[in-house]
Amino acid sequence: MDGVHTGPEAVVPLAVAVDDALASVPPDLVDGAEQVLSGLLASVDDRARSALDRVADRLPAGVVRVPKGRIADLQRCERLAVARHLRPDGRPPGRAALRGVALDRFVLLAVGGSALDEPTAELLSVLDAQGEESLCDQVLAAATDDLGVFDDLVGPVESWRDLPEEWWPRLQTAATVSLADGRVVCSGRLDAELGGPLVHRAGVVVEVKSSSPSPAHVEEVALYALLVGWRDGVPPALVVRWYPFHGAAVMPVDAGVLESAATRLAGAVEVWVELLAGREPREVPGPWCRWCPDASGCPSSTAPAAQDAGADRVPGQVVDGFDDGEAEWEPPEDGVDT
Amino acid sequence: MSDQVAGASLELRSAWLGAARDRLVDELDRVLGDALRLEGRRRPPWSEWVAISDFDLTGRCAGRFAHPDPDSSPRSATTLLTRALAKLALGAWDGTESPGSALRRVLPTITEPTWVVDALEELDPAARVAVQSSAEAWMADVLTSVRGRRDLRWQVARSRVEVPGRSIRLAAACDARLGDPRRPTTLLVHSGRLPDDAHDAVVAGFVSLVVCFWGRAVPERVRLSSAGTGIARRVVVTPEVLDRGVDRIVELASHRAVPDAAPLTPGGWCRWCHRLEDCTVGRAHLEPGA
Repeated sequence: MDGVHTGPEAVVPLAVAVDDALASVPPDLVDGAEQVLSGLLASVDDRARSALDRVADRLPAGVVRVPKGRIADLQRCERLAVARHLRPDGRPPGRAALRGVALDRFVLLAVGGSALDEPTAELLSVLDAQGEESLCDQVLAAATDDLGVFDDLVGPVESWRDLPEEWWPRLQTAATVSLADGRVVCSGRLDAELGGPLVHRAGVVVEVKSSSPSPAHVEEVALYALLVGWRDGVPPALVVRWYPFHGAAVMPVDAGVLESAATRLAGAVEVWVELLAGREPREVPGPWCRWCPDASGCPSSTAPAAQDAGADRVPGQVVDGFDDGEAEWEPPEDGVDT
Repeated sequence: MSDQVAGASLELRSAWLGAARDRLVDELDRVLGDALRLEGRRRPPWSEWVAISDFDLTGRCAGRFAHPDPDSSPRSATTLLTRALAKLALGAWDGTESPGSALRRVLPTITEPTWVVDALEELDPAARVAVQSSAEAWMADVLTSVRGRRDLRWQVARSRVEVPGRSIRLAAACDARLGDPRRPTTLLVHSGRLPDDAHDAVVAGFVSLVVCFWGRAVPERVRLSSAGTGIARRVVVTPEVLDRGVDRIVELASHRAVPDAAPLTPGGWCRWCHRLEDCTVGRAHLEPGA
């Protein structure tokens, strides 16, 4: 389910990669995926309700939020998830996360037909217009340390230019599902969407990733396929992970993709509800210990699994083949709401 | 956005509007007494008026509302510009073109509102692309919610009302309407708020009253759609729904009239609250292990 990478020839226009992939998606694949959507929603909703009911007397008031970053962390280590999302320390994003922020904005500028002559200045303009004052400060600090910190991202982004207008390219769209009468919410912010029911074309979701390809990214786009399917009533035909230095990895959306995503979502909701209700988080040592806010006080962070993986890695550094969890910057509005 | 359910007659909706306006004045008299009353012809400066908008309806901490942050507005100028551009483009949308095409076609023709023209002129090219991109995403989202419907009249301006006899201003936005502006049949509100039966009625009552305050009649119904969900639900406007809006206005005004009596409700919002430094309840909530 890892999809097909177009390889290092990342200058292949995204439009070409998507068009080629769409041509090979059998129509019955999309039909099959569409048919499971309502059943999956009922199933996840049912598990969310049961989870809430089990701890009803211990759960704080408020909406339980499970955005994608929380789901990913819950699959790594519950203590990591609690440390990052239940007790966020308000630390600014690291260098890798800032590069992710920059890449999203460079894509926005390329799709909008804007030149990228002075990347840092243009990045600051966009962030300022978006009201991201804190990120502006972080970008300035990073650029002060390393003037060309974002420059290498500009070239690959050229492959986003000239997306066909008839695909209705749109960026940073929302896909949200409300479960258990609104007591549980899973929301996603999609980097790019093409096509879809309003356009009478097959839908495509593109997730922009500044780090190296990782299995966790496949799970993220599968979740997005599910959320878009529930939002539109029709799932996208394709989900695409786009990496500036690895090209586009495309994956057709079939019933299995949606079923796996629904299973992970329901599981994450169940675990997060238990943690909110006060259950002690379980620890699972791994490479994520290196960016876990609780690492200094967590016995598992000294376990071999935490020490061995990525031992030569500098925190925040983007390393090929490494699942760089720190590269995910979860905006404050996705924060816990209890 | 099917509106097949027959609404109340125009005469009835007109009578309900009059009754809601009267009830608002009476309830404010009963609860506030002379607090926030306009005296004679003297009008206090705007900074002394109590502003109650649709953004305030669902806030969960009365104390936070009672002590507003003087340095923040409920929405950023960019967000307002984005929505305005999107609605101007939706008004010209041909039903098939992409949001980006519609927006690019409309941009050179915008002369009103002047604040939109001025705001656009202040943006450098990169910021302008960012704003346009946000507007296009919002357009696509709202079109998904209304299933591409084209007969809606998109509303750029917010409705603002001064409550008779009080230094209280009400503000609300409906994103689109069906029917005559002075007696619309349907108002559409598209927001990030998720479905919630109790709040939906409050929002519907408040928006109906404020948007139609000096019109002829309240709408038959309010459509509330939630960003990112594709979900729109209908609230039929009745005297009970209007009462919910009136009650919320009176409740919020009373918090501003006696700010220190407003109850504090801790929650996830405490983390971003401008009052956190002085709020023991909020700080206790955010203590590790709380």
